[in-house]
Amino acid sequence: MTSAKILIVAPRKDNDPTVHTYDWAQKALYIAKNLGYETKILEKDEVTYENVTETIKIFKPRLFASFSHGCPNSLQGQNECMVTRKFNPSELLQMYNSNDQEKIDVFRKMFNPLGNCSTVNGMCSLDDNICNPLCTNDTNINELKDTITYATACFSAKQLGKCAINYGVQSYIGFQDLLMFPVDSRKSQDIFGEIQLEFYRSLLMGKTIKQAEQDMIKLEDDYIRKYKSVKYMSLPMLWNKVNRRILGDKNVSIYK
Amino acid sequence: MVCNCNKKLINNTPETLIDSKFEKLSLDEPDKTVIMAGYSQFTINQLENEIDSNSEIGKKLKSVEKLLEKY
Repeated sequence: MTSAKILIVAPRKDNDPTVHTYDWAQKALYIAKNLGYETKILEKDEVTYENVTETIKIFKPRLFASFSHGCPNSLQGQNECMVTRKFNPSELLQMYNSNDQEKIDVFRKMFNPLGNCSTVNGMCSLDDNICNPLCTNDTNINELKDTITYATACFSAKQLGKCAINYGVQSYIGFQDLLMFPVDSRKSQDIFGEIQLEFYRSLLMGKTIKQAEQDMIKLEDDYIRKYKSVKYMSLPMLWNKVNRRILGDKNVSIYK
Repeated sequence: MVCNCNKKLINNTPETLIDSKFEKLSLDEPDKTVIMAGYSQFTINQLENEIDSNSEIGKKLKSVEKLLEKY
């Protein structure tokens, strides 16, 4: 029996959340290998649009797991978008002329990625969500047809995830807003990684998307209750829970 | 820099309910603990300011904070 293949992508930049999501990706790699899955990881500078596209085509993963930055319309590699869906000019024009605030917002973010970024002590305000520079790479989300795509990344469930389902991705798990987690000397970020990996682990144990989601929610709720009074543990945890989206078929498992 | 929210939160923290490892988590060093959020990172002070000023993110955080009451 051929085992399902797993492709993990993990960009990493210093002084960036990817320092931590990269660690989570390494744990994901360990879990997958330990369970006997044929697993490949693209990391750091390997995470280019070209590499990711080619690897998906050749390796044909059943599960694509991205631990990266994300925007409404793309997942980000080391220095460029790596999984995306390209808009054609007429779609861009429609967005520009739309009365739908969300579409206008997407348009604005694509062409003015830093928005009205105001810096406070060198940090940006989130009044305008920071997005990636305009991605001009061609659509490659279609290459993930028939996969389960697990995006530990901001925003991508908002547009890319929906698009992915239209292109035949069986299930897309991601966030419709920012992914948040605290980082401190006590390594509280590890708990957030543990929650993310709970879903992944359950999936690799052969559970369906729905069952894996339940496992993750149980762990998440336990932690939220446990740290309820520690505001900046429980609040980002609940934030992530509220903004997580599971699109497509919830009854599939890694074994189809 | 003093964080007013720090005192408020510490006073509300029943330490017995929390692992000792996390007793002071995110509370004792409001300018060192950061909350990663996309390409940005916030200190606790900054997020508290976002909530107090009712910014876009502040409003969202408030609505999620309300949901915390159910736990």
